[in-house]
Amino acid sequence: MDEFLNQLTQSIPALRRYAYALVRDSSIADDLVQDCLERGLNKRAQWQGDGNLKSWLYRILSNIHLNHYRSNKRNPLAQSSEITENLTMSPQLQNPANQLDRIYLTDLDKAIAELPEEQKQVLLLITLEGLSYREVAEIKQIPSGTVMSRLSRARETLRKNMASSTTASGPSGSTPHIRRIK
Amino acid sequence: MSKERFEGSELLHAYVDGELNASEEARVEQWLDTHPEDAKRVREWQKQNQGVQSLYAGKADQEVPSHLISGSHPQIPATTGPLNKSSMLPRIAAAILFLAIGSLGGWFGHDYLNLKHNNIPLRTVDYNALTSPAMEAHWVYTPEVKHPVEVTSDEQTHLAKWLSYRLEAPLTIPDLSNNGYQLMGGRLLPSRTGPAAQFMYESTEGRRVTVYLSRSDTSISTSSAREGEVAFQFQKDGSTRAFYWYEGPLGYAVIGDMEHNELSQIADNIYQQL
Repeated sequence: MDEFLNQLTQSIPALRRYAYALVRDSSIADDLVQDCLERGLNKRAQWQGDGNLKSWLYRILSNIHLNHYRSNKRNPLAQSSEITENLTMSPQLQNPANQLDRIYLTDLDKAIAELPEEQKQVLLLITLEGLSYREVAEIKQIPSGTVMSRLSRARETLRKNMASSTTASGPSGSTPHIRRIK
Repeated sequence: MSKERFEGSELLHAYVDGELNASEEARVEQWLDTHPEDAKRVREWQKQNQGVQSLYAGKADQEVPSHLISGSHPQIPATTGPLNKSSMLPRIAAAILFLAIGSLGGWFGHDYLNLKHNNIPLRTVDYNALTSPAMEAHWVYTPEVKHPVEVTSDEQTHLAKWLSYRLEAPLTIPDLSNNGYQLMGGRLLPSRTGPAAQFMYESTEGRRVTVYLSRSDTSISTSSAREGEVAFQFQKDGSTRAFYWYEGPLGYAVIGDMEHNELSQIADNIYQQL
């Protein structure tokens, strides 16, 4: 297997993780990843061998995501989250190292889904994919100041939305959420 | 990472994300000891980071479905041999899904636009007549996987002739390869002023730009023709930006989801070619 395909294959798990967090639906996420891989293969001639293939794939996936899911918020298909449904079954959540309470995670999941896509991408590339600010600036082709401002706006929005839900959640754990209808 | 790169709350973010060296970290920790409000924010962000990991990180440990690997690069089992584009797995199901999402997105985008119109009564006539349908068309067609264009760039000569005939004005299809965008093709669209045209371009990384042309309202075209000069105007809606102008019988709009400067260069390039 050549170096390109090797690196491409090794990037798949991370791309799936990133795509899944962006769209919160396994099958849509896999379609997104497949689209990304196909584009990557089609354009392999344009890949500079010395560059980081994974970064390049992150960039392609981010662009496809923006193309396809720009109207995410207004798209009811994207509103269902498997995570919220699967929370009770997830083995990670029974791991004592990850003892964040379930209500917090459910709310966080929802709050992330509601972030503007550009902020969501930056937040996830940093906090989920563990990339540096500089790498994210390169992937997104934006100045590092823009990375910082998107990250800080994303965190501030999450904090605000989480604050309202954590204070309101009683022992029953079922916080009624008011749905805004446009 | 130099100290100058981060200041104020940036330093706190950088601390949470492990962007600092040991001495910078120590400085931040000292600061946090005496600033409980900042310490609280930092703890909240750390909790968010941990939450993101708990929610989504497990996905990378799951087994990759075989169709993803075989579907996207069936040549992997073979150790040699050139890539064969035609061996790509047909993606009909995915295309149908994206079609559905694309049209839903377009529909909801349309709704969203109407909503905006209601909220903001002070829209100029030319915005409604040109940029609004141009942006809607951009939102509807750029997400398309299977049918982003009606006539592909393979038939570029035919495309130019056909659309020139329908718009009753000679059209040049701009070449944006200098900006890193290749023509995908174009389509005919309805508009309030008759037939309109959309050309779509794509970068190697999958970003898409559209150029929209329609006949301008007579009032606008005569006034700009009299002045003999063209003014670029700018419009932004969410992350979508548009430059537009009128020249001769036509209105032009260049739409993209990118930074102001990059789109401005593309608009310049197009204007030079017309």
